[in-house]
Amino acid sequence: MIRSELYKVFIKQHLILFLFVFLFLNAAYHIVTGYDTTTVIRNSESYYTSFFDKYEGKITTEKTTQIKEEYKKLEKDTVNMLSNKLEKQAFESFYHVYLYESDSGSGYLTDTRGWESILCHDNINYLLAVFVVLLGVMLFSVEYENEMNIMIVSTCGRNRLTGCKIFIGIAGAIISASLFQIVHIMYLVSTIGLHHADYPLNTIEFYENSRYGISLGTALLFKFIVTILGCMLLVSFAMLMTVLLKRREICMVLAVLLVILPRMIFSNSSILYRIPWITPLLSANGFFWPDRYTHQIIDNQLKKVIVFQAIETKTMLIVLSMDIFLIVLSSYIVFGKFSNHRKSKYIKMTSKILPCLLICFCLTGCGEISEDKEVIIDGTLNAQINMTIGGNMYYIDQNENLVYCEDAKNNIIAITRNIIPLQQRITNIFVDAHYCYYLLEDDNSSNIIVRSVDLESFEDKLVYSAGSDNTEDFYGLRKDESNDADEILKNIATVNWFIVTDKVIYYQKNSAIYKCSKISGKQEIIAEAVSDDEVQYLKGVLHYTDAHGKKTSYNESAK
Amino acid sequence: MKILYFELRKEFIRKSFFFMMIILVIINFFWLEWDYHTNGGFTEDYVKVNASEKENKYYEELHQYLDGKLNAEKVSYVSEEYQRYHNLVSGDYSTEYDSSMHTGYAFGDYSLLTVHFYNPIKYLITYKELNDGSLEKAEENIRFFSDKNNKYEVEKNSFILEHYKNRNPLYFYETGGWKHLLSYDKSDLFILVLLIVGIIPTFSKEKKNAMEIIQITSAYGRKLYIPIKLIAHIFVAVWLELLFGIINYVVIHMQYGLSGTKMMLYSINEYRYTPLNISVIEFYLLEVLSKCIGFAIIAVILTMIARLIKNTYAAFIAMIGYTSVFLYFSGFNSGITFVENVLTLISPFSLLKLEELATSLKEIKFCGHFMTFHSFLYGVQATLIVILLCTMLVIEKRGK
Repeated sequence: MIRSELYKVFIKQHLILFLFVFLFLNAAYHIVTGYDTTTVIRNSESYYTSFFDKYEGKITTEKTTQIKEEYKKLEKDTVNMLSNKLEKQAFESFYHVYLYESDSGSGYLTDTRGWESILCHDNINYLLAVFVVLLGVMLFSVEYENEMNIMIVSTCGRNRLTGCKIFIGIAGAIISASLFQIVHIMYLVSTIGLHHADYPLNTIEFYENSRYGISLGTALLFKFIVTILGCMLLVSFAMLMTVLLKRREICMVLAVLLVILPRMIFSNSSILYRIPWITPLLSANGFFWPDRYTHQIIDNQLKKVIVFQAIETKTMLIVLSMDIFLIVLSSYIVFGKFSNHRKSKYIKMTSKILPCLLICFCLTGCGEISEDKEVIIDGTLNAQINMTIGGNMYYIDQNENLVYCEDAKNNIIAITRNIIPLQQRITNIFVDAHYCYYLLEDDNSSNIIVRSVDLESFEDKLVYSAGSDNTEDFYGLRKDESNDADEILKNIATVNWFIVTDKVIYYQKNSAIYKCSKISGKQEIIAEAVSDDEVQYLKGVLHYTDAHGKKTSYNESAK
Repeated sequence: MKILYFELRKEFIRKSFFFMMIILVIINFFWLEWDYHTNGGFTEDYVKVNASEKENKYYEELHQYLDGKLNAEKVSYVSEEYQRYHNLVSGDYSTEYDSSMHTGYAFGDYSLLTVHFYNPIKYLITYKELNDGSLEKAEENIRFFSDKNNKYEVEKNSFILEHYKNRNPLYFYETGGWKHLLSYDKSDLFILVLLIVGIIPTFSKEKKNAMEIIQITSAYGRKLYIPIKLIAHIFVAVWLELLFGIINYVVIHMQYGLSGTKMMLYSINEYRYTPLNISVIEFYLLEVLSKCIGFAIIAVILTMIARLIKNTYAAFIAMIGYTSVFLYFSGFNSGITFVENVLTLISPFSLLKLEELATSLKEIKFCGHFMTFHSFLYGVQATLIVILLCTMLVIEKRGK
């Protein structure tokens, strides 16, 4: 009977096809979004990992001495201009981890980025959720739509058949939840790695104040199991709605809403994890997150404000027990309802009260106000703020955020003539015979925009933009994670200079030279650790000085 | 009309659809309440429901006195009060409770008056001067660009000159409620949910019940089989938007008061550069109208998906996929590149975001001419929908 039910759902209704497609999309999603890292580490990945290879494991006196010696050595290096800048940056990131681990962490050194990717986020895997909903709805809806349920409930095997369906639903939820999570784990293992699962949870700085003395592996196992539990609850609710409402379209949409609505309402709040519901189980990690704080200025004083309150063990156990109870209860109601058993007073009452309870669960509780973070940056040091071409001086008026030109007779004309103020700052200009190019930077993004003004017609055109941030938040489901310190620093760093050629734009920022294609919009780093000396672009060759003071060239056509 | 009613009876005038609709209306109501009690109130730092009785009393008193057309008396009162509190909190002042203060605290009085009255009134008073400065610049630009033979910039500056002139927003009212009403978009999700629920089974059910053959072989039904479904879905989309639009207005009006319906849109600081010369209530009606058009187009596309994909589950996934992808595209509305503009223009979900597009002047260059982005968006959407409908008709004819 199980085989024929499996055939009906997976082959006849193409669920197997949906499974493969969703697994593929899941894998693609993880590959595209990648793992947790910072720009600094990304730029000096090999140095960073080499430090961990060297010092990985328990911090001993010997290792401490070696790290401190290395620190002194690199400190001295800073006197020697910009040499080994990347190595120094990587060591600084490593040293930060070392300081944390030796002072308040676990006392073990390891690259935790893989673990952070899987344990420090509370995102829901919506592909998994939709698949589980499809599974739950498909199991029962066909019989109702073909009116086969009448035939089924009038036969002797009705209990066995319903049991089979519920078993397939629950087992399918467990298997699919496992598969989707295994894909993520495999991706992390094959890229950044999930090393040293036996190290304590507070090896990750995020879990510094965690009240649980469990290992990283145990935390992952817990997340794995809780997500499975979430899928079991979701499938049982999907089945329950199908047998109660009998309309698959409504059931599918309602089941998806059951997952997303609490998420949209409670957002980052810890209240979500105090409700026995599907959404916290699918998020899973929040159950063992420590207290999280933010700093806000209240009445002119910097105050620490709690944004996530850790879930107590007792509460967690109660919530999980109630979830298990809900799985059993909903499966029981599905069994009774579909097999068309004579309804006991209890089942009748429960099937009426339960939907009301579900709605109440969605709508009760209260959360904290989510904070907006904004970094206000000022200053355009080391920027190309004026240029003299053919006796005309072009310069940026930083107060008005406009570009002006002053000719030999001291006549001043505005080159940029926008009435509505620009949202970005003009930080650099570059002028050639026909165009005045100006570079715009935004304090909240590392992307640059280059526009040009035709010096004849004063036509203002977009020359290059790396693209804006997409503002769609999917009705509150997509959260913009705040930038880490390195990202903020990267935004603060202003472009030193830029050159516009026929096909590309070169600019220097943070001692690195970037090349941006005007046609494809592709951006790449062509040189790192560059000194602030003179840069020259001549006949398709960019001449610059590297960190060691050596003159180096980059030939545009040779690449 | 009868055939439309019969069509609506199939999926929409049903207990199950009304059940879902009522649930979503209730959720929408709770959501608005939740917003009001947490992020809501008037600004982030003054949540009315959390404020003390004294604070609210002072707030109401000031509004009673200052609301309406600003005159010299009101302006000098606010300036004097601001200066008095400013002097008070500049030196050593008591942070203890003081019953003589309106809110109970010296800094409380200063903060409430500055943030909610002095700053907004200062914005309204100085708006004209700043705006006139911009207009002078625009006039100068027209002369300058005419000399340079730059047609696009001349058109753009002429537009600015025409649409930003005679602006003098001298009416002061509370704007927190209006801002919330204009930016609230959670009800859009509920409308989408209801549309998906109603449209998914449209064609699959007909086929399953063998009604499709009967309808397309009858003389009357053959012509109207698809058009009447499209009309029914558009009707439902528009009706749902109107319903939720009214509910949102009524609930937010109950919460905030929504006074000053004739206040101009640019009286709200966030819309200071809006190209629209209309009042807040007119803008809300325009927003609802834009959403009606947006949802009508979305309903047509969802109907096409349901027609093309007969498998309910696959249609469900395709609709979710379409919604997610095109909703994402509409998020590029602040972009400036060609690709970002194209993605925003092809997404009907951009029509649901008039509030974001209207905050400032967003332009587009079309055949060397200046056009506002939102008016161009309507043109693109109208063209796309005509093309889609024609394609559908051709496919249907070939199918028959």
